[in-house]
Amino acid sequence: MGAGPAAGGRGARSSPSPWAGRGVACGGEELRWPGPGGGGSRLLLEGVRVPAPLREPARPAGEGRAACEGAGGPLARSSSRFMLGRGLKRKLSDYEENMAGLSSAFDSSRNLPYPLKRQLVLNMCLTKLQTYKMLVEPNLHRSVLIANTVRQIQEEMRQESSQQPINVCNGIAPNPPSYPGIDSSGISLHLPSGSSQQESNCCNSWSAEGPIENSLLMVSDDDMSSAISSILKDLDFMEDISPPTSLVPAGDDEPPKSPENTCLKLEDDRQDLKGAECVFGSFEISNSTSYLKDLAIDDIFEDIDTSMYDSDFCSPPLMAPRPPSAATEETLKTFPSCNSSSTNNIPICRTDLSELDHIMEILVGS
Amino acid sequence: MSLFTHNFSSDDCVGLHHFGETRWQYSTDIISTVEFNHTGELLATGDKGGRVVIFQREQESKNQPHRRGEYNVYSTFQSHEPEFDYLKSLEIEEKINKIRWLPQQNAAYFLLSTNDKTVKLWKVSERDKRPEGYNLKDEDGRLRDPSMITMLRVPVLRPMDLMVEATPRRVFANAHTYHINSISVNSDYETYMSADDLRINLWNFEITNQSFNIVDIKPANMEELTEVITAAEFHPHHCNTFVYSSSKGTIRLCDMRASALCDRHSKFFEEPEDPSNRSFFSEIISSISDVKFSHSGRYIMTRDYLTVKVWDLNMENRPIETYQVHDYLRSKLCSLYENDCIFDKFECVWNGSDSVIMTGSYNNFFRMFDRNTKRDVTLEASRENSKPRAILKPRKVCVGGKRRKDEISVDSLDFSKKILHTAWHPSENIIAVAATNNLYIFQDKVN
Repeated sequence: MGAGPAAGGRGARSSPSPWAGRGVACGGEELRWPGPGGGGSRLLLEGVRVPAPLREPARPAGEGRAACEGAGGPLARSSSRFMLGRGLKRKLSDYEENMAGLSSAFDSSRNLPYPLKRQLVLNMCLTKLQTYKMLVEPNLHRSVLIANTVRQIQEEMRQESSQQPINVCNGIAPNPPSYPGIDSSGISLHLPSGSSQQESNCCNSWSAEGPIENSLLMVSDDDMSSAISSILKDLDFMEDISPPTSLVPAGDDEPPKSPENTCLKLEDDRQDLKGAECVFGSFEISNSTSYLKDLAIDDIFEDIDTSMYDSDFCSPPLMAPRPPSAATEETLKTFPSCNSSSTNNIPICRTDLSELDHIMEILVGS
Repeated sequence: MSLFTHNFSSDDCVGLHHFGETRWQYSTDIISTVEFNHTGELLATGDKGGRVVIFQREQESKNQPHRRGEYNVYSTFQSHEPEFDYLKSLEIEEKINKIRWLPQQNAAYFLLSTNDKTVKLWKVSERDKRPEGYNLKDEDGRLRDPSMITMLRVPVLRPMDLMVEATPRRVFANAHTYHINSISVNSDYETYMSADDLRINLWNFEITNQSFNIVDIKPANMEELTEVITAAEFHPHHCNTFVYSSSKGTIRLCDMRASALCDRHSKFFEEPEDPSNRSFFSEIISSISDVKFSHSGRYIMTRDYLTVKVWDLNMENRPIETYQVHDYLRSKLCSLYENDCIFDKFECVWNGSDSVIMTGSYNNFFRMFDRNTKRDVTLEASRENSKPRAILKPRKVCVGGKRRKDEISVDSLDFSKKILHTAWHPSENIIAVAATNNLYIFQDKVN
């Protein structure tokens, strides 16, 4: 049977206590025993939840990270229980606080109107999808679930709007946003080029309900569809650039698939790859564009008339994944100016002006 | 043997009879899978760092009767290492997603372990004897001069200190584009399947460079993707039958005799949605995180976010039993969605006789449901509340209103302490519960 011999013949083992838990494996290898600071600190590294950078490290939010996330005390607070030092609260970013507050408001309040709840959920979904899009390897399962939820809400809204005509707001309310986090992320996902349209009708009718509603971004159906499509497409190309696995069967009477798992490339897959490369190509381009933007393009093209560039820059879609704070700040700054009301004029982007000033200062050396 | 011998009341602490505890502080890494072998003698755990630790049950001995049946470390080895996919610039995690044992056929033990991309077959064998008395070399291994040898002898095997060694015997790689979530050994002991988000592959243990694709739900256009595979398992007795669950809360049973590609199911299990429970998160919480055949092969059990369901294979339109695991979370779904807890994948297990089912929850709670008596109990795996050999006390979560002493309110639950992985001994009432980086082993001690 192969069961070990009786107690005497065991391999190298430390003293067997009733706990029997402080284990030493046979062969002398010792399981590292986390002391109060040891293993705990390792968990801390995993458990500290940083405000999501727009480009996360390769590991998707897997079990390890999730195990240490989540509400410790009241559900509303999303701070991790494993904090640096006992009792010290990690400082939440504004965005996270607002999100946590919103979701707990959703859960606890029965008085929130249904459209508002729906909008809240929709915003959360879109935010998550956008975060996943920034990941090198988004979780397919979660993305699909969230995309389905978005589609479902979208469908509901579509049905409602077909029953009673409602102006769909395509921009942001003129009121100062109460939840800057939501706004910026909602904006930078996908906006139609016509986002500078008048939305005063619709949003004014909401103004009675309070600041929350006014600051929520309402995204049109097409944008959501395209957002979902692009995310799923990205998932596709990322996964498909790999050694081919199997043939696509033509029918049931085909012989069983027996693909080579070596690097044998088949015709279908060559074409697949070509298609994927095209998408991949566009992804790469958008990537590099972001780096270019990073380099304060104004520096390079300083002597060129940048007014055309300014207007392009201010009008969305800002599709390129951009490095963290720069993007957020810029969108925060630019959008209020871009979406200001009833203008057909090319909006002046305040950031660019200040940047130009700054650059001039450096050049002049003052 | 029934587990529960008392009616529950808030004053009565002797709810769960005689479940005592051996606690293991496991390691610095988070346990990601737990599995007993077919006899229950061995318990394997995999962790996030790619290691596998195998525990072996102590033989009963008259000298130390109180140590009957305790599990001690038997072998530890590094199963998977982190890899880097240079083509896609992706890191492949070494975390062990699943371990499945093969039935024992000789002196060695075999198990399959898998991470996101690669399945490995490991052989764990003991060596407690070594040959002595070679003719051509001496005890140190140095070669002898043949001309000096005057007599021949037959080497004899002499006992040595027990050494347990684990060797990788097969590596099944490069067959999955998406992340592997399940592996299942077939009852023919010659094949097994591995399932990722969109495909299921059938392997022969002897062949590592080929696998058959038996399920493929990837749409031609990825934008049309609405459903993924979440778990898959072979029938315990019929080697042609398997089931797989989806993110839409459905289970498909497939017969491999019907066609080579089992995209058309033989049976389709789906429960119609309850309109009164409808919410924005209905679809997300209906996603099945685990599916398990009963030992008898007559039933399947599925776990979704809030419930465990038992299905009769002969009835597709609804489950025969539904158990609420933590229904008090239904009113907190938005918060749980916000902090991603709603995507947690809990597993579920049957006991040996299929009479009790068990699954995990938050706050290091886990739940057991007795299918016959319809009783259920909530227990906690934590070292603060348990002394060695103490009997586990049932816990209760109070939902609003007045909280009795010893009850815990929903808002005080710790959602970072989740029990996703549990295992039940195939024939005895011994359970293994993984709580983050701690492994708890509880035994039902009657007598």
